Amino acid sequence: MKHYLDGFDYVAAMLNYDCRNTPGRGNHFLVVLELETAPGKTELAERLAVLEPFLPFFSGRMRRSRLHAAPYWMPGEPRGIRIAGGMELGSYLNTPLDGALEVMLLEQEPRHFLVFKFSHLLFDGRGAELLIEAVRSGDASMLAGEIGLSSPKLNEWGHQFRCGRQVQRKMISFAAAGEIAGTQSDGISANRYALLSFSREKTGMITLCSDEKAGPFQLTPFLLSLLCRSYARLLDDLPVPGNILIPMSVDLRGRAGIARNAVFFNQWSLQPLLVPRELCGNPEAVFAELKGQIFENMSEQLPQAFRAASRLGRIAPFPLLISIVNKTRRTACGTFMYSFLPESSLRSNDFCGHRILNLYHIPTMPPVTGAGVFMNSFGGALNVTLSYREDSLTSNAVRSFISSFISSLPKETP
Amino acid sequence: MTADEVKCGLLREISAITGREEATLSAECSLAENGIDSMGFVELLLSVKRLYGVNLVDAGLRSADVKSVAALAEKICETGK
Repeated sequence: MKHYLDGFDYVAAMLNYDCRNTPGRGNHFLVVLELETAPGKTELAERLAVLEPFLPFFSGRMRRSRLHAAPYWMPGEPRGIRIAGGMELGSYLNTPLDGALEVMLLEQEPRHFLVFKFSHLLFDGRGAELLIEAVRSGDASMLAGEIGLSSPKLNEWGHQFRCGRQVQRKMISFAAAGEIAGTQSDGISANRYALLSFSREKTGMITLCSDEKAGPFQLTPFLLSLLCRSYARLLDDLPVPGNILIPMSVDLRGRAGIARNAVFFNQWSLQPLLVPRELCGNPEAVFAELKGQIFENMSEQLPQAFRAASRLGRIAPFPLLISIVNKTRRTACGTFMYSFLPESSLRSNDFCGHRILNLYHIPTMPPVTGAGVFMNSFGGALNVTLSYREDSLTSNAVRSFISSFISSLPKETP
Repeated sequence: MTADEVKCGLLREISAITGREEATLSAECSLAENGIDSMGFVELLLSVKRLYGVNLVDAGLRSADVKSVAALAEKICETGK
């Protein structure tokens, strides 16, 4: 049985190809567990044994069907999961990943880290957390179920083309609104990151303020409205003109026929949001704009349309797709990527008797957009990672962004 | 429409959105406790508009309005008058 790639798996593979000349040689990401005490290598290897049936997938690669050219994942020869040692996180982020999964133990007394490095070819952020939960709990049943598409989905052309037209209309409307601010990378620079971790108390205050000012369940657009103001200041510092286009990624598990506990492959889609530059100094106005667009996008099922339309691109070679992206980047691609995992998939903060203090995500960025902001919550605490290519943002701009964002957060409970 | 009818309708929609069996949901629990996340909340409000013709998107919803499914049903009936 073949494991066919869906549209966003192919997008991830294209981005991975676009990162081939960077120090990390690919588009991978870290999920970092900060632990109170550290497991030993033997203990960790025993826990990783739950993944043994899937080792062929971790060493697999993308191939094309000779019959109809649809891409699929071909499992490889099983190899043990490499447990790397003792490298600083920033350096580890910029080293190549052999296969789809690697683990590192890092001691920076008094802090201890268990770091998982995932390939975006086989995992997305939520899937990575689900896999870590399977390792943590030793529950192999979490990994059961279909892996990838069981059929290439080549018989839905009409629907895919209609979705493609819907996506194209949306992108044209963005271009018509004016220049899009962008900070693309040269494709060979290293990846850098800045991580902000907020305490449970501070996160609780932020959430209460969001509920009070923006209403219930509005934390994403509330935080994004604050981000836009800070990011606009960062762009002012560079300087880079234009409107802010945010290709926000949306987890589609539980929707569009995707299993809620799907571990493997890319089960996300896009919901692009456009913020006129002149609004960015006014978070209330930005929030209203974002909220309206989110409701409109969801009403039109835009994330589902993106997902269906993305299947059309699976036939095109990567260099062709990348040249199309590069030609349209100033009007289509985006200013910074954004995602928010508001709830962790880990059901406990115990990893083999070692307490998990925090969990955060550190992705590498493809050359386009060259920068992204990724938020997640663990144990009621909010983490914010700014990930960027070294030549996309200056150190001053990053410092300015961090300072601006922190100062924009609520200072007291409403 | 009565609040009870709306309450039953909401539980059906929440079941469809979250994938949870309707029998496991509770009208006295909050939306979050019933499995609704931010994306699900948008879908629920869109369902409310479709089913009852009531637009809650700009109705100034407060946390008290979603503290239970029953409270949201009351809000829908009140807004729809």
